[in-house]
Amino acid sequence: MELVIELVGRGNRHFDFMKISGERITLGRSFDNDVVLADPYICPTHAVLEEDENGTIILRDLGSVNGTFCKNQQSIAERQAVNSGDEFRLGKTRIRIYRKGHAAEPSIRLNRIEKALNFIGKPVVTGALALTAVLLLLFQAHALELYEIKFARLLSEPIKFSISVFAWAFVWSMYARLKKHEMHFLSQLAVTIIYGLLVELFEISGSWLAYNTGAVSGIDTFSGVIIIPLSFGLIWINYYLSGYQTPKKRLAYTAGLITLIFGFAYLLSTPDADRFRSRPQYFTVIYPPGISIYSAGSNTEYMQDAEAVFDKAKKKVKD
Amino acid sequence: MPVRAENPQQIFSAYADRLYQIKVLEKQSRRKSALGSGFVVSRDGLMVTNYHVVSKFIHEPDKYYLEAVSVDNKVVAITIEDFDIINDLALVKFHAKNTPMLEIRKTTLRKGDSIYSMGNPLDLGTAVVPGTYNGYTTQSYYKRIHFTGAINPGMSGGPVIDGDGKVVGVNVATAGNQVGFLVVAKKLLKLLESYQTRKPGKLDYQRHIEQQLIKNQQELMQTVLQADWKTTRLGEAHVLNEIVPFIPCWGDKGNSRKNKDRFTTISIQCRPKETVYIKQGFNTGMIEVQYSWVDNISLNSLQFTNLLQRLYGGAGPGNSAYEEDVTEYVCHEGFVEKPDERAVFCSRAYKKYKGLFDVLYISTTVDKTDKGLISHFTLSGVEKAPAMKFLARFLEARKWN
Repeated sequence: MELVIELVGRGNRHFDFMKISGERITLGRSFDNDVVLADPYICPTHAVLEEDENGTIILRDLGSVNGTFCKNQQSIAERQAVNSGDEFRLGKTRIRIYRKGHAAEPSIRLNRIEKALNFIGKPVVTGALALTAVLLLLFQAHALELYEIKFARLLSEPIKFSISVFAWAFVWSMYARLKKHEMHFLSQLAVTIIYGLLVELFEISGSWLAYNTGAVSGIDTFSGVIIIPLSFGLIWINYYLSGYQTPKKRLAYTAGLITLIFGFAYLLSTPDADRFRSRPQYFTVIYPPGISIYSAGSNTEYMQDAEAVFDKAKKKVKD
Repeated sequence: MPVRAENPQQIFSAYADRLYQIKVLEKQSRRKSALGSGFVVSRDGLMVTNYHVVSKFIHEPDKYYLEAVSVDNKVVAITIEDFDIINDLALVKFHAKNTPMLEIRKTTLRKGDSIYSMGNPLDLGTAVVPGTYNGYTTQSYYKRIHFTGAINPGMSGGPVIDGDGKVVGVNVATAGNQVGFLVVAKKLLKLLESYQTRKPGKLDYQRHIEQQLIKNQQELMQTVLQADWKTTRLGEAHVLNEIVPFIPCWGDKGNSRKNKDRFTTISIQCRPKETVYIKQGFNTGMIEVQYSWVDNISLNSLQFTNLLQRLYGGAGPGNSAYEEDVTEYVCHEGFVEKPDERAVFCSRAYKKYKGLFDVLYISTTVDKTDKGLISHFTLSGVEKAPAMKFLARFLEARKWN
């Protein structure tokens, strides 16, 4: 018989393929075996693979100290029939066997996501994104500066942004590296910058809408909540870029990390939210006339709406 | 028999036996928590002091108890009989028969008359402070006597008497540097009168406060709303100026070297000198009007908007209050027109005094980027109807150039 033997590492990581033929294939630590295994928990002559008269592959334990186990952790009796693609364990070593004709998994197609991620990971594209973000932050800092314009002061926000974006991408690349996967540093960086830009975009458009439509509380909540799906997307892609996972696992990891981050943020924010606020909380952002579309209602209308605050405040006494 | 006394020594020896130190003590530790002075006004032991001296007890009668200590260190238990929160007076009583007392003067004095303030300053022992009567405080809603002489903490609630030993006022506050304020004797007579006509029975302190705050607020707001509101020029805008004499205005130029090449601001702020004390950390009766005019010199439109935003975003209450006293603010935000302004109107309700609110309004012009106006007012301890009338008149008063 002709077999391919695969050594499997922790986390299903692939170690090695060995192609071996023979009537009897012995497995063990001593050098006269067909498959020599370095695991100290394996006996010098540990097990043997044979073919019976029907052509079934039989695994036999040769009275080893630590035994031989099927994938379901059951210790095999003296002999055990195994199929192509089955996995078993000797000592602490996991082994999978395949017949020569075993059909290989279909190859994974480079999908659209991957293509897009490769594209934004190109140095030119990542550079352009980074430049856009820095220029926008500089513009914002300049628009907020009421006193003398000092370039060093304008730079503080872009620098803070750059550091955090770099750090985030770096951590993910390191994680990928740890899992012996490509680092994709530029793609990670690009995705993180895009995330930052999107958050900013939603915040600005949200507050602009709130200012112009008067739907202050609704839009405020919306822009507060939108950050969760955005962050979900970011972390999903971070995972995607840092190793192969089944889609289910990736979703689960992402959801877990999101829960952790936002749960922690929530825990940190509660004591503050519970404190009595003696100052009014209202929406203080205003926009210059050139980019506003509000329509000022009549003052009578304003007063009618304003009158409602008394009853709302009274209701708060009861709560 | 009152004796005519010409010097503080005689005054002291003649009337010191009618003076007491008033103590608010904490029940568990039996330690003093507030101190003041008081004086006897009836043979059967009725005494006068300041409301603020005994306010701790009035708000938490389960936690505190009251005592009065005579000049010769006799301690007597006292009870609250009545009080006037607006004029900061309280009547307390101990059991007595034929105890010496002070008479209250019914005629007015002349500026420059010598009067004598008595009390127990800083818990140092009974003292007499000679001083001068200087008429009523001007620009004041709750008229007080302007007394030239040192009134110190602990003397609150003590009497101020003339040479005949008749009470002309009650020590209440100081502005430092020999400037003191006294509650006018007339208010004391009024309180005594209403006490004598009041039905017997236990006083519900909180309801009593509520009634007095509501009544005072009605009269105050009526005076304010009936007044002919004067306007003045601020930058290119017409804004309110001293709406009534007791809410004086101050001007301010908020320009520093830091911003002088970029923008300038001028502001006007009007607020009364006095508020009504309810308890520590909680006062009311404030009426504040405030405007800031901003001229843009070299800011771009986004920067100028950011400046307005900062001025607009900083509104806070005109009085102080805690969670146990008031709710959080509830606001309405929107736009008013002519000129176009972003405006927010907020109110918070009093938890123990039904129908009373603190109110706050602030607006900023949003239709120009070369100049701007921030308009703001706060009212505290008002009912809904007068507050809305105030808002309507405030909006009417706005005029651009």
